[in-house]
Amino acid sequence: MKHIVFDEKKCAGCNLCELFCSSKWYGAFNPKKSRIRITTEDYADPKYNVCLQCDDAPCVEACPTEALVIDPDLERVVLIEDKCIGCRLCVRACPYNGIYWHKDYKLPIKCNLCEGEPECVKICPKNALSVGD
Amino acid sequence: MVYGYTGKILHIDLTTGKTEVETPDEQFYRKWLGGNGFVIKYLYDELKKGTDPLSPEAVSVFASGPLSGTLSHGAGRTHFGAKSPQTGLLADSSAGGGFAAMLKYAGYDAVVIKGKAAKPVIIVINNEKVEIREAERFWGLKTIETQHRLKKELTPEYKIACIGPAGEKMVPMTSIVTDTRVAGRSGNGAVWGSKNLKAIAIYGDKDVKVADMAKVKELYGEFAKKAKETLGGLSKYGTTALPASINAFGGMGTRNMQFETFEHVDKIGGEILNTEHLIRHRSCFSCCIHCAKDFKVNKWDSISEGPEYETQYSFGSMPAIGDVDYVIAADRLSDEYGIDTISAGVTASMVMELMERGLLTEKDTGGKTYKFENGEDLLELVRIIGEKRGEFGELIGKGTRAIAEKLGGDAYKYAFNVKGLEPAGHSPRAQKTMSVGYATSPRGGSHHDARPIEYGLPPEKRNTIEGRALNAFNTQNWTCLGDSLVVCHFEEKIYGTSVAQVHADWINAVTGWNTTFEEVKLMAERFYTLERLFTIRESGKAREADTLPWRAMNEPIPTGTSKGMYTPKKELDAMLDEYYELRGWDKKGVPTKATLKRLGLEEYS
Repeated sequence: MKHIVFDEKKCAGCNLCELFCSSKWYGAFNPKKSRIRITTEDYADPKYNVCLQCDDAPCVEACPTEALVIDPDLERVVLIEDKCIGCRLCVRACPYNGIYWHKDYKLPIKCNLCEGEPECVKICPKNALSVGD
Repeated sequence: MVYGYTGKILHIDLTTGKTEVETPDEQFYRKWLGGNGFVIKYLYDELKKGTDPLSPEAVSVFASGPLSGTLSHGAGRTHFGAKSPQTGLLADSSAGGGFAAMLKYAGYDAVVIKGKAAKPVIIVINNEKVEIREAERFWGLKTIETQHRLKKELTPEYKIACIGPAGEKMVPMTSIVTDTRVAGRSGNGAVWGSKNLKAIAIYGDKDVKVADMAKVKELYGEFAKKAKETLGGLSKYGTTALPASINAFGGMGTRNMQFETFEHVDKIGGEILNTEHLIRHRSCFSCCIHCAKDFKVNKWDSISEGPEYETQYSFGSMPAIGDVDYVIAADRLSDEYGIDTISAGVTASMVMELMERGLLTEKDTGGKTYKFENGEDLLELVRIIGEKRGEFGELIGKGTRAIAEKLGGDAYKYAFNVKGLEPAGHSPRAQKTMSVGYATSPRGGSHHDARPIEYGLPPEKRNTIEGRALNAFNTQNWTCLGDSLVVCHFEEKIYGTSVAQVHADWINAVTGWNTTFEEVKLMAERFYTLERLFTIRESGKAREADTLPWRAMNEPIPTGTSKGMYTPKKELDAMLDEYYELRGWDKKGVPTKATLKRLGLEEYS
């Protein structure tokens, strides 16, 4: 399915994606509330973590309340907030470290591709982020 | 709650191991703003007059500002400060990266450290939890290795600032390194070393909330758009393209300032670096320009983030090294030892000239001759400083002023420093704004007080003192404000080199205040004048110390576009008179009572 794709050679490590993501969805600047995470370390290429909207999603499998479902029309893994009980099994199940938990919320922090127009892709100054398969 | 700030200042006493959280009121924040403002306030208040900079009583401060952690340009920069072991005056220095943004996310605006740990320690800050941990295992490690090992013990998400072996040995020209970014100038690293403090690691997951998110995004959007339209060169080359233009301008310090034109400038310039050595672009936290670059050494296996322009000057044209591999290698080596590339390079160049002139001999250096143009000699001098090797290493690690004092005779003529700090690569002979700017900088030879704004002007327009004092006054106010917000000085390429309305707009959008341009300008003047009081208190000198290196005042530039230019004493004196008047300092360079009152500094009179 479509998800955020990352070009580690283009990324300069400014973390602006995290600031735009957290401010759009949670109203504050806080990289630990961002749905996308960029980790930088001195001479290495930056690394990224985000929900990859897996076709065969371990988080969907792990969710005990069917709050995480694959929406074939939207082509992504969708969180149905009303059904979520905040058990965090999805956070643990994700092999890509693409789902997060923050003590301020009762729901997992997970990329939904901004319902079609991802903010991080729009603002990335290096065009290191895009939507792809 | 004041938006933008965390409302907490963390105090750590390494002697007792106690930590304390201060929660200043809004009035405090509106008076001292952040970064530079906090640093000078705490240093002035917490240090007793005449304190030995390397004693347990010495204080080390680092601070974020109201814009840290937001979308403001370079909002991860950290402002470090202490009393300088190199100059005995103010040592404040700013590093790129993301350390101060993480400090805000952890819930603190600034950290004030005093005392001395009995054994090597690290400070680990994880939100509310502040721990002083034993760190013998890190002692002796270079800066990148220190950070790697520490991240392995903690998590890779921590932001770390640390010192290298030079800081541990209290070499005066030492830096603090965070990631590959450096707070280089005037010896903050040695102060950490004297406290047995190897590193500070911070992790935070708290919000930085702003008063008007829409306005913050609008301000960022305008900035990013203009940056994209006009700063492509900075994005592509960083500052590495400057040697070509500054050399053509006739202001590229060469062979320890004997010349200001470097014949091999192309061999250390932006084109060769970006075509033959570039590995990747890097950015500080929250910056859309990404001016930092990783360059590789081609002759052997090494990488450095940098050199940037100042280091192309200090390790390139000053020691006349026409081989950029050595400039890149010396840059990395300096970052690893944790020493300042500007002071190290200028000092190495002085050693080379003194040996050429016979004022320094093999007897002084331990049997070795160091020569201009020799890259291996440069690397060896960097190692000697970094390792504080022998008597010679101990001497040159103090910088050019100490060498001149030790040797006596004519050596002072070749000591390129202001108040003991070696100037950056913006010539005080070719640009009179920098003459008066360096002379009045509380740090000495800093290019982050007055800014070099005369590039582009032909020599006949530069060879006048008219308006230069005003330039220095305006640009110093801007940099002082920028270091308080805390933002990157490259903002000036979009917002200009003076305090402007847009700075008040940013502060208001983030904090919810209704501050004005006038109030913001007054803040910058307040901090600068308190720095002046600090300088006078610690040195006992005012006007008599506002001077320039001998060469800048007595020896005209011999060749090149700026041939014949220099700043004789009578010109400097005239500019100083004008400058003091603008600041409201008397003829001796001492702030008047009326000025202290105007700036809200009555308690310091």
